[in-house]
Amino acid sequence: MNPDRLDRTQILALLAVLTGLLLPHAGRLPNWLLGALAILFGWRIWLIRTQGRMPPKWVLLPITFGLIVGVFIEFRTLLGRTGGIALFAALIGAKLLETRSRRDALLLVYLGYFLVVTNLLFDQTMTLAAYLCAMVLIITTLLIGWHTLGGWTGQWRVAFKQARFAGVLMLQALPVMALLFVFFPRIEGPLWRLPQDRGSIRSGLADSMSPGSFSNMSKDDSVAFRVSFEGERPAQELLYWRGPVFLDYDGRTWTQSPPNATTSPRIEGGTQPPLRYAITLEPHQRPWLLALDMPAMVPDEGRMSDQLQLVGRRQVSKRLRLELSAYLQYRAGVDEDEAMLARALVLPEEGNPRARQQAAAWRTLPPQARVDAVLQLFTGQGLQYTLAPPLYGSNAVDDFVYGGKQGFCEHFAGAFVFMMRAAGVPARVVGGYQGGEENGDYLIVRQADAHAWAEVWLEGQGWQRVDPTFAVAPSRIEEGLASAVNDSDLPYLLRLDNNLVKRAQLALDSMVNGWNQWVIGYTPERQRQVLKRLGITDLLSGKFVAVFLGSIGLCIALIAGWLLWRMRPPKPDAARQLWDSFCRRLAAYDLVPARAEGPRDFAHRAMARLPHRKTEIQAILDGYLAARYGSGGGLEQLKQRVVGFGR
Amino acid sequence: MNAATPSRISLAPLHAVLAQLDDFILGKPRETRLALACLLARGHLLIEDVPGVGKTTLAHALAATLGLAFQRVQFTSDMLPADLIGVSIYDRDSHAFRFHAGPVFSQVVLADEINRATPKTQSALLEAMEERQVTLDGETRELPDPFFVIATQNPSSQIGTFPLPESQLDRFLMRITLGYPDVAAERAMLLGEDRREMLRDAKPVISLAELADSQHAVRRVHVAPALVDYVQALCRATREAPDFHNGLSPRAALGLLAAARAWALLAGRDMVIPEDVQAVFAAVATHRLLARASNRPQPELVAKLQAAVAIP
Repeated sequence: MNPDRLDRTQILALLAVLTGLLLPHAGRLPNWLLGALAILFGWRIWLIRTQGRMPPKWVLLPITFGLIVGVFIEFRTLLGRTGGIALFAALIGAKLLETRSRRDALLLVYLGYFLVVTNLLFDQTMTLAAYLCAMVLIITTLLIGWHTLGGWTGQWRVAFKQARFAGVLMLQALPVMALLFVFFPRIEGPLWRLPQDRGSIRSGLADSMSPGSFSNMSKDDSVAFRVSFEGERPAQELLYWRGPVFLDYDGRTWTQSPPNATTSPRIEGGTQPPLRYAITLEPHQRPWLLALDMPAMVPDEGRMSDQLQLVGRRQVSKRLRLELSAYLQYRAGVDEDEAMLARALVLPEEGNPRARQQAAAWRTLPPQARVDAVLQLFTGQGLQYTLAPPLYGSNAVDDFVYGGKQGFCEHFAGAFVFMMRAAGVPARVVGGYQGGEENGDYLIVRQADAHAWAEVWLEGQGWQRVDPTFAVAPSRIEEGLASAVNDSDLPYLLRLDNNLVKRAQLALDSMVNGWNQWVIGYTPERQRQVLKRLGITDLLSGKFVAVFLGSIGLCIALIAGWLLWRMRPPKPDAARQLWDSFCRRLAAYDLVPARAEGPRDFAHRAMARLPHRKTEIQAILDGYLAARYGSGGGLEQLKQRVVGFGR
Repeated sequence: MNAATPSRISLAPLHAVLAQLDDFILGKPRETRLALACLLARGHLLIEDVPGVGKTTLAHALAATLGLAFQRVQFTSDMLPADLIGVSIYDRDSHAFRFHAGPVFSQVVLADEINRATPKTQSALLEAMEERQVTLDGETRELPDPFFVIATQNPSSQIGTFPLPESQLDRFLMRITLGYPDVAAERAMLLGEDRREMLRDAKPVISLAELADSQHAVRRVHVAPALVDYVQALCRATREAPDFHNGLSPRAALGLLAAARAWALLAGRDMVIPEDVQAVFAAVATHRLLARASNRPQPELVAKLQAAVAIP
């Protein structure tokens, strides 16, 4: 039996762990490579089953070379993020076919640890982190198994003990990990440049609005963003999360004109101080940032556009946490320039004659009265708010207001703005989200909360928010989507009844939010803030580095000390203590007992060396043997003899 | 302390036994002492050695010196359990089956070359060793008391043998090797009397009652907790050591303690000290610990292990 030989169970376990670690990469690797890996893994399993011979070098080398060339052709590089992983996976597959001994397997185990890290280059969600923690536990268990003699004994009980040991090791590493997490200088920006990932666009607000685009989103319960307020949460009907502004209408589709961030209208807050809050956006692959209407400040990450919209410097392709503030009462764009106002009056050449005609009749009224007249028309017509409006023809506004009378927010907002423009009041459609669901101390806003409303410009008051949906179905705004429509059409999470599944989902979301806030959201900026509170301003100062390394050292020393303390030998009994002290006295004569030397043998050796003290040594030996191995007693006498021996 | 404490029994007969054994087996005082300790601890002895070094003489001498009935059985591959245990034969005069006792019904049984017999016969002997009784035709027959098996094995020829499995090796309390005598001892033997005649004339130097008392006295030798710590430390070390397939079993631990007690008794002590454990450890442990590398007992590994375990 060669202890270095690998047990088949150990190889299978190794294969399973490596598969588990490559699994999250599966979507990133080309199909041909996945196939090749499956063949290599399968080959290894087949070799275990048949006890067959490993392929010789001249077979292995072309395979390895072929895989490398394949990766290079596919990615045009062997470095980079995905290319590097592909190369790494290919080489692991090839290495498996020459894994004979424990040494080879240990190498694969260490590569496994590296695979864990590579997964975090792509994804840092809590789920993946938990998965990787489990994987680290399993690899560590394997590693412990290889270093424990006998290795896999076929007993699950032993494997479980080893897993528990691995868990203890991981827990011991926790304090050091926490210290490194908090204090290790963060790097600005990602390590690799993120690819322009077209495939991963989430459903969400688009840069245009056509009938159906919002009602489709009402079925999507994925999270758009989460918000935590610094103070009191405002009332539900004030929670308008401002997104893209749709200014241009071609008779069917409202489109956003590219935001121009060089100038922006003036915003004045009311008497109340701005409301401060933090918003964590899920990646939506669009440049705009969502903000509570009306933003009171512009964050570092973005700019204010000419349409009072916050726009990021680049696409939001990873989770983004912003600290913002908002005026709930405001006057915005009182001095709006003529060009913008003119654009806010443009209508298509033709279409919707009835709405046009009715609105034109109100041109004589003062602007505020025109707004009220349209809203009254909407309520008077008995318009209904529904998730499944019919499809309207080319005269969509006429068909909706005077015909079908059923619509979702985009119909209301679109029809309202159309009629306002026809009545000569500058107006535009604003897209975004409305409301949100309270979960503990924060608010979840989902894609289904997407909403469209209108903004009209009134002399002296600037842009004022008008929500025609509110006029018709106030419960949508005050209590949320589910109360305004028949909620069996909605996904589970969006319905009203507060069942167990929903509560569990909300609890989970709360955890995810914590993870996003404290782990993902621990950016260089936040690190600076945290450290500043601890009185550390310069991360690279000698003093800080000393404290940092010192505290890590202290952590390790504490754990090591605790372990040593636990492993300390039991306190010897009184007889043994006396004997030990006797041995210490003899050490002066260069007499030290060997590790397994019995007391009698040692005493005889000492008597041979010190013949003149023979009787004393014999007496101490007899006393010790009687006290410790005999029926006990005589300790006092032994003590006197031992003490007397020194003189 | 009660009447049967070792200090109260006379050690003189035991020392006389040792002296007479050493007259027969020249130059091997340690091995003869181990053999006697094994008997006193009510264990069985396995002698593993090449032919002609005095295995049979030792067994014979033990029986003669202790005044015990002795039988020698040469194990062969065609031997059946009945050849060992005995057989019931129909007796025409009494119209009944009569049991003809086999060689196992003897106080000292020398099982020569035990590994030449088939596992079936081996296990018949080993069962008798463990139970100290034999069941045949539904009738249980007690074996004589004392009952002491000395088995021999020839390590060099393994062709056509059935090596004893570990579970059966465990039933032997000790395994010793005699080895070649040194020059002086061999010379004395060559010049001395013929061993066969000596054995024929040998007189027992201990009575059966004295032997039984001694066996009782062994069980009363004091074992302190500190000593149990040491025995446990040794056993744990064998279980954790990388060199061996298995560690010592709890039965082996009991055996180690019993052997150490017997050794202490022979030294005239009424308590066991660590040196007693060390004296018998190799004999008790070596055949139970198969080395991973060679799948055979390796005395030097056992010695290394003993030297590595500190006395608590």
